[in-house]
Amino acid sequence: MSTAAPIPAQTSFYQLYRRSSLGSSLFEALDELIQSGHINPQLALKILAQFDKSASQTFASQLKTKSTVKAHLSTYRLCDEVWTFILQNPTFKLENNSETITVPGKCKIVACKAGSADAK
Amino acid sequence: MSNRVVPAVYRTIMNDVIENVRTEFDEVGVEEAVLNELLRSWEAKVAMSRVADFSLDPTMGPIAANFPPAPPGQPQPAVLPLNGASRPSTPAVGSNTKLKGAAAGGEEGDKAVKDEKKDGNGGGATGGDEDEINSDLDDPEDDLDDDDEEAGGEGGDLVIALYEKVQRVKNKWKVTLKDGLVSVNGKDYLFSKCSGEFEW
Repeated sequence: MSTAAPIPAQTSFYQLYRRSSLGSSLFEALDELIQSGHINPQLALKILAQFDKSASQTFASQLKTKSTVKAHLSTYRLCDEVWTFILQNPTFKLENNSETITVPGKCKIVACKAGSADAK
Repeated sequence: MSNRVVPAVYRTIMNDVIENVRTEFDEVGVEEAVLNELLRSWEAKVAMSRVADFSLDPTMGPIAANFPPAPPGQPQPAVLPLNGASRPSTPAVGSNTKLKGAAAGGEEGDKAVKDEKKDGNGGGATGGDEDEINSDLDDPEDDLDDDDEEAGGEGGDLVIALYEKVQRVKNKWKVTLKDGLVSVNGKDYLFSKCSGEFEW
């Protein structure tokens, strides 16, 4: 196989999943490898960009379950097409097994616009 | 929304990332052992996070056995240290000093993230004068930021998702989210779609 066209710009996937436990675990692992001199920060950034892509694609293709959430909305904000909601005592309902999860206190939602990451 | 799919989905993402950066490692001449170490270290951190039951995963299972998942996502007593739940600072099994070191390194990592974000905003402050002039206006914003820290700080309860629709009628909000991750009460849940109804 010839070296195909370069992979599209790495900025075409949102970085928001980096804030998950999976993303922060990766970040910590990369940080240790940088500290110990095994990899350089440039390579770490490429790995994080790959994580953005892998996480976005896997979430879009593998998830099936639906749910609902009800809450008192204490703060809302829209900035650069990113919505932030701060919920007070939200209740999540899992539709597939009708489990209910209540969260005492505040819970923050950070949401990027669906389908527009590629346009950037 | 499901907690049970978390181990399989996380495993898919981890394998996908590792396989796709293999050529990058090759190109810059970093040996494969480093890539394997990256995966091992990543797996250990995820297994210790207790955000789901990783005991059935071939490589994360043995580590996860020492870090059983948090109790089911039922209402938990408010006295539980929720903020620390997803990030065990002191492993329950104190024998493995290497893991302890890893946890300490993680905190540095967090700081690095924040620094990076600051840098990312670019520019930096354009001068102290502006702050003084606008100090009255800035105050409410500072309060909002405090609110953020409280709700969405490290280990706090957080939902990360894409939004399809956000509608408001008077004080009633309807929000449609997709491809999201809910991190609450020390556990992770994933959903394809989530519709939210909020009252402001």
